[in-house]
Amino acid sequence: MSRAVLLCALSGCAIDTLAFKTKAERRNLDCQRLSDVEAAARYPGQVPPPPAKELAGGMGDVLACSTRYLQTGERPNRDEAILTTLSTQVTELADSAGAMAPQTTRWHVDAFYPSLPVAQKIAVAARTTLAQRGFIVSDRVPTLAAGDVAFLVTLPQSEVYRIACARSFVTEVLGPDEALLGLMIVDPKETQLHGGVCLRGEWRWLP
Amino acid sequence: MALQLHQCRAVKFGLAVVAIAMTTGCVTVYQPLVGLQRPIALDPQTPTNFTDNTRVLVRCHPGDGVEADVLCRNVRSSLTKQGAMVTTEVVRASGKVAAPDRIETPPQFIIDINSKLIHHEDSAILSLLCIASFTLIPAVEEWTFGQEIRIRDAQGFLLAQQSFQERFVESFGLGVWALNGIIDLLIRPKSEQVTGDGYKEEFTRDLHGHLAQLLYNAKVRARVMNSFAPEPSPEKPKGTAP
Repeated sequence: MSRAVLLCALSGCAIDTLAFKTKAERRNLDCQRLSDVEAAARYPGQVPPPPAKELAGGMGDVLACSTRYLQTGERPNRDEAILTTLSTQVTELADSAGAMAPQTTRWHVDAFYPSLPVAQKIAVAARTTLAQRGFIVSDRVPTLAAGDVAFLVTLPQSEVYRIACARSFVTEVLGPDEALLGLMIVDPKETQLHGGVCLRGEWRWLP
Repeated sequence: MALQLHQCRAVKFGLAVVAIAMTTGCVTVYQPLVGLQRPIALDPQTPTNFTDNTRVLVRCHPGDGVEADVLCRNVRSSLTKQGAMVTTEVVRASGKVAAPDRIETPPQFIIDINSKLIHHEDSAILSLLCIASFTLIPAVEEWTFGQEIRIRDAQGFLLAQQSFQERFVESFGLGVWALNGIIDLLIRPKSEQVTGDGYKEEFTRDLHGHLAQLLYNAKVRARVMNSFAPEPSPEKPKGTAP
């Protein structure tokens, strides 16, 4: 017993378990510092309630860590960076888009991303956010005719969304009471989503 | 004679203990807490990330336990290696800018770095035990730092922002140092070793990588916000020769 205590004291195991985790294990933890009061409320049974004097003054704090479901390296870097911030990014863009059209507008959402499963996740997240805000959201993705698409792929990125939007309105793929929220990356090395809205034939990038 | 020998042995033993305590080292462990453990899509070792005439002003703000001038210097070095033209400003606590670099052309992007010490813990009981046990029981000190990074364009439009937090746990003592030294020597691969300055390199790699990614994202956002219009040529400051 005394040997175990000595070994523990020597190695510092009684103080912080961090020293025994590998770098990869440390990177798979999502941690945040919480006050004693907040930690006790969030993790009852694991964090004891703080004494009354701390309730008044809020002295101590707790480092709360949880292991991530998908570990670092399981997904490509860009997908991982986009998906870990998906909720924040999509909420900001959907809120900006919602402010650009009347409440009665029917929203269509499409995501342009190299990986189809990730594109679907982005589109679903945006549809859900718009629906939560009380907008009418369609599951249908507006599609241009094959000839239009063949022409559009030859255009530079600066023109393609503007012309596709105008063409969608002219060909009545999108009606006057319908809007398309497009979410995309425009550079292979970026890890942020951009958004644009097509409304009555006019394409506008979201700030 | 026997007493003298005994005294001499005691002195030698005392000197040996002091010598061991003097040679005792630290084991520091770095843990990314917020943002820094997320992967990046950019390779910060690529010298062509910002070669297309990207002009950046890095502004480092003061904070507890943070050497703003060192931070600014390191960030400039990192971004310059990736092709950007970087100038730096160190903002003093009084709000004055200390020795700004000479700016020949106005910057396209302004990076504001606010660093602060969020948490510091140093157990007095462990420190006393450490001294009493001749550093056999380690003293443990812990710091949590945070960085708030904002990137704006020349007009002040916010293009990107990100918060980071990281934690450093330093154990001081002969036992913890010797044991980890032996494990480093015999078992741990070089990338996993905890004795030495590896934690500094790891943190620097994380922070500079994310900073480069954030700047790259800001650059792309600026292009999108300008509807992919070509970048105007830099204006020369007034009063300079053509």
